[in-house]
Amino acid sequence: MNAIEIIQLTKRFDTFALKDVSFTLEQGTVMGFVGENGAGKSTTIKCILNLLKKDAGNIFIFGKNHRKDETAWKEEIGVVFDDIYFPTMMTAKQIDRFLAKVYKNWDTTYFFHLLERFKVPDNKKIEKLSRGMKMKLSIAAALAHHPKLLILDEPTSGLDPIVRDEILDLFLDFMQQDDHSILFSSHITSDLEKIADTITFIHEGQILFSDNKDTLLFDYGIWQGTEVEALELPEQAIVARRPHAFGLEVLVKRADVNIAFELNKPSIEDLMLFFVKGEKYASTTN
Amino acid sequence: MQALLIKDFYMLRKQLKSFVLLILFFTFLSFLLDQGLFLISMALIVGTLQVTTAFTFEEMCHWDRYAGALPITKKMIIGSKYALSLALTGGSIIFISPVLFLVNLGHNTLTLQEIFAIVAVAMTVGLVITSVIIPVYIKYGSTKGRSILFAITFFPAFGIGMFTNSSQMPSAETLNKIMTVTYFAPLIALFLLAISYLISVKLYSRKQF
Repeated sequence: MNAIEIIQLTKRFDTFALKDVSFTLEQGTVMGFVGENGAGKSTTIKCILNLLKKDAGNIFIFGKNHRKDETAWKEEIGVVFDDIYFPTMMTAKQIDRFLAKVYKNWDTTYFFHLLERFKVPDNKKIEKLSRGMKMKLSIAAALAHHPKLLILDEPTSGLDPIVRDEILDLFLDFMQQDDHSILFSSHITSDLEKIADTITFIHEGQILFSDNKDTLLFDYGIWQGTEVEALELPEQAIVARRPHAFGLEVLVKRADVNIAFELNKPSIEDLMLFFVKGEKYASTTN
Repeated sequence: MQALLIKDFYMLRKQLKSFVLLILFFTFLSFLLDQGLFLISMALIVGTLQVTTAFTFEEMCHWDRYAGALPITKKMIIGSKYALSLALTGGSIIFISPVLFLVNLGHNTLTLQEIFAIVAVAMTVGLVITSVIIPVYIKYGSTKGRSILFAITFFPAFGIGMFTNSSQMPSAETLNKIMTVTYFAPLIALFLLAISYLISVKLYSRKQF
């Protein structure tokens, strides 16, 4: 079963639009949802959660239309935004008492276990916590009702590498169960390289690709050389070019290039940079 | 609903403490000055403002966005604001009614009927203000909502002041009729509150976060 299925989602604003966004998050997998700031990641997530009303398209959560039985499927998901949205005068203890009345499956013991693991004080007001602590509290609040799907909207942005690593470990623990899934929106691509099974890349409101991470990283290669040497590359293999101080970097489709050309394995960040800032690219949307 | 009221209580705890202290201070002042009417107006104004404070705090922390990700219906979110308002208005009136009665015992200027009429009017005013202010805050947000709140409380008060200065006092018969109407006024205000709730749910359902 699919945890999330989005079919031709369209949402228009005055200066920006999501255009025919489609992708599928299979149950038991982690999808890295990448794109530069303002590409449409948060807008897509808000449409999934019904915080924004879509203009066209369909969204299915656990196989059901997201407009139907909203409270039922929201019992099964945990959401972490880029900041904690609880009133800042509340403490973790008070959040526990509140959420215990909201969720049928709220697990107070697990919530305080997570707080202890993260060393988050339970009686300190949110306004007195550091950003790292706030995000850890937010994640504990999203996990303590044992959801099957986590929707994360930039949960690690602005956090130091140590805290990010702790948080990623927790997400890996969450994925130990076969029916658990994560939609992980981030522009910190190194986090996604550690945890994601698939990568969906959105740019200016459109999906450029959505595929298995390893396949993506294997399918593409980076060739380095001069402008003149680059003329020897087959035209159909070239996805994008980036000139730099010492010559040229070219993103190519590995399958279309002779093995005589030495290619480096790209990172997700490389792919993002080529697709967004590269001089020319062919459509590779799946 | 209970969950949201718990959250509102934690959020407004500091303000509610100040509210109770203020009411106690004005109660003391009422006995000191032998004047209970201004206690009612103070309790109503400060009580109504607590709900607007809740809207402001929630707006500051983008609460609605988070609430939208929880298994809570929009009706529950709006219903909790009305329940909070009713609890504050009702609680204030339950507290101040005996105070008004005791203050009046000293000089007996008001009959028991008149005290009931005053309490009924106070309750009506509280419910009407709530009925207007909640949909206004949902539609326009707390910054614009505050200006509108000021306008809807200031202009009627100003108008009533003008009317009582420039007109003759109504006859005893008219006053009796007004008294009878005041007993039913809270029921009319409750009906208005129900309509206001339906409007608020509609406005909130249209909002995007």
